[in-house]
Amino acid sequence: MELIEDAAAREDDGALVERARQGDAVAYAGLVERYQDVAFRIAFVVLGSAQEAEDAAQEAFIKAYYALPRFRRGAPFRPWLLQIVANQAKNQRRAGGRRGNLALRATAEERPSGGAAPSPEVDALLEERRQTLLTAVNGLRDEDRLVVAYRYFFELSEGEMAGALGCARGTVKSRLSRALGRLRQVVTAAGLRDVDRQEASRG
Amino acid sequence: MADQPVAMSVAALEVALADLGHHMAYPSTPNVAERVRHEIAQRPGPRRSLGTARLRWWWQSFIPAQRRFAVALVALIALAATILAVSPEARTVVAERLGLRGVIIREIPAVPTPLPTAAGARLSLGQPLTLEEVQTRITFQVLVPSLLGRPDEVYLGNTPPGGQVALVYYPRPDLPQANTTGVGLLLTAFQGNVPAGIFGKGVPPGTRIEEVQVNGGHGYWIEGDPHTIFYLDSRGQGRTETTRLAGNVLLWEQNQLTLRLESALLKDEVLRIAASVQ
Repeated sequence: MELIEDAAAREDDGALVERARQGDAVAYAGLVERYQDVAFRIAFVVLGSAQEAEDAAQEAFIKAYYALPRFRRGAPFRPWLLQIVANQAKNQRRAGGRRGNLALRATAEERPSGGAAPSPEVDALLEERRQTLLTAVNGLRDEDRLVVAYRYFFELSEGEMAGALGCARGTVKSRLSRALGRLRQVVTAAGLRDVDRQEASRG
Repeated sequence: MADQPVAMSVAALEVALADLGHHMAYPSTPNVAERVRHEIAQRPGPRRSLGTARLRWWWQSFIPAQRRFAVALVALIALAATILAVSPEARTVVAERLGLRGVIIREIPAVPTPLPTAAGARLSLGQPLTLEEVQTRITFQVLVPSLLGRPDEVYLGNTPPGGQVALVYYPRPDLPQANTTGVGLLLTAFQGNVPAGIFGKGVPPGTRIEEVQVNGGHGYWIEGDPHTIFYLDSRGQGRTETTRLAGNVLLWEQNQLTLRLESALLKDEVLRIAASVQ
C-alpha cells in the first residue's frame, strides 16, 4: 500500500484527483500529504492557534474528499482545496471568537551555521522593522490579512488567488489593492516608511 | 518638514511583505494525512471502487487486527530500505515528502568541504555560479574590479528583472570583514538607475552622503549608520532592499548598470577599487 503511495507522489494532481474520485483513498492520501503543509499554515493565518488550525485543516480535507464529485475536471486542485480550507477556518473562527496573532521566527533560528554573522545592531534594526509590519498585518481585518498572506506569504499567483478566494481576477486585484492601502496607512502611522524617505523627512 | 509624515511606497511595502513572509514562525505541521485517512476509511468514499473494497475485505479478514500494524510496518521498512537503496527516483520522492522539493538526493564520494562563508544563502544573493556561467545567462557585461582579482564567490539573483550579479570577496588583510555583510567586499550590479535626488531631501542622522564621480558616471558615497537602499529597476519600478542593511556603500552608474560596493573600507580606498571596475 505504501509503495503505491510513493508512486502516487510523483503523479500530477489531476491523475490523483481522478483516482480519488473513484474512491481510491490511497490516491487521496497522496494529495493530503502534498498539501497538508500549506493547508495547515493558511488555517493558522486565519485562526492563530495551532490546535484549531489542525482541526480546520483535517476537517477541510475530509470535506474536500466528499466534494470531489463536484470538482471540475481539469481545474487546478490546489486553489479549490485552499478555498475549502479557508472557509472551514473562517467558520471555526466565527464560532470560536478571538483570533491569535502571527509571530516572527527568532533571529537565532534563522542564522545558517558556518557563516559570519552581521552585527547584532543590524539584526535588531531589521527585526524591529519586521515586527512593526507584522503588528500591522495582525491588526488587519480577517479578509485583508488572508489576501495579503496568500499573495506575499504563500506566493499564490493571481489566478490561484482567484480560485482560492472564489472570485474573478479583477476582484483579486482590487481586494489586494484595498488591503495594501489599509496596511500602508497603518504602517505609516506606526512610523514605518521607506527608510530613505523616512530619514529624509527627519532631515 | 521634520514632522511631515511620508507614506511608505506600495513597491517598498510589497518588498517588505515578501521579506516578512520568509521570516514568519509557524507551528510544525501535524500529520493531518494520517487522521484524514482514518476518517475516510470509516465511511464510503465519493464513489468507492469494487477493487479497493475487495482489497480492504481481504486485508481485514485474513490478518488479525493486532498483527496488521506490525506486518504493515515490517513490510514498509523492508520495502522502503530496498527502494531507497536501488532507486534514485525514490530518493527524490522521499526528499519531496520531507519538504525539500527540487532537491535530488544522490550518492557522493565524499562530503564536500563547506565554504568558508555561506554568503549567498545568508545575504539572499541567488544562485552560486562561476563568472563564465553568469555571463552566459545575462544580457549585460559582468564587471570585475581588476584591483581585487577574481571573486571568491559569484551569484546570480532573479530580482530585479534582468538579474543581479553579486561578486563576493572573503575577508583578507586588505579587505577587513564588514559587519553588515560578514564578508570582505560585496559588489552587486544590475540594470537600473539610482533615482536622482532620492538623497537630496535631507541627510539622515548618523549617515553621511556625498555625491561622487566614478568612471565617468554619477554616484553616491554613503557611510555611517546602517541604512536601506532604494533604487529603480530596469522597468522604472521603485524597489527597496529590505533583506539586509548596508554600512559603507559606494553606489554608482556605469555602462547603464547600477553598481553597489559594500565593505568596511574607507572612501578613498573604495574609490580606488571602483576605478578599477571594468
